[in-house]
Amino acid sequence: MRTPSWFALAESIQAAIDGVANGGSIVIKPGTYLLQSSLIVSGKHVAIIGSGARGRQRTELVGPEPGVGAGRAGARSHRV
Amino acid sequence: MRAALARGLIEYEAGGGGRVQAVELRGFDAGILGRDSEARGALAIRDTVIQRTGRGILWNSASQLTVNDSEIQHTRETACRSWPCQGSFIRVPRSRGSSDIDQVGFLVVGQGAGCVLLHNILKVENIFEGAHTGGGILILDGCADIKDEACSRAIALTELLW
Repeated sequence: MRTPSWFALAESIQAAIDGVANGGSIVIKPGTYLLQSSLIVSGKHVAIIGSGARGRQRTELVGPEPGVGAGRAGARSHRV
Repeated sequence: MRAALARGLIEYEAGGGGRVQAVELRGFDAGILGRDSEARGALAIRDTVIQRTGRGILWNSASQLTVNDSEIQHTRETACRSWPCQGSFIRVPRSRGSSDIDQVGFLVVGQGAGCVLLHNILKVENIFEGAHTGGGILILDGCADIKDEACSRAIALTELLW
């Protein structure tokens, strides 16, 4: 199946943020995504859109406990 | 955690902005963190749940911040801390049809204060705050338009310890 030009799959959420044009959107499928690093949005406007904040079909972005010392962007996010 | 050292799950810097919508954010020192001395990148947060973070929103940015239909709960420190934002916490009234958040737009529940807003020009509508060990809404040196809020506790100046 051909991928439409306006649609791209990214290997990580940060890669999607980095790759999208100013004013663009990234859509995150339902699931739990473990982040070891902060997601950084710099120098452009990006819409980060999940499938919902509640319910079974929600999109969860989960990082380390507060104060644990999360890093900057670079590490990939993992969907579990 | 000192604000200057905090790491956000999503961080906005150098003109970064846009929208966060329909996600749940957990972990990190802050769910949303903004750092920008210039008003270059406005951020809108909609239909989002932020919980079990250090702070919910830590917005050290001159860019406009708008929060609608979202919940911040079970934070270790202040749910929202914003300075010197020229922004707004706006709730457009809308019924969710569920029990305790019915008619409540911006719910903040945490161990710190609900909102600490410094040097702001802001608009606050229909904020509900409950179950804080700290204060409700604390505004210093700001110009605020507040209506329809419900705070379960009085303002606690001890929340200035940041």
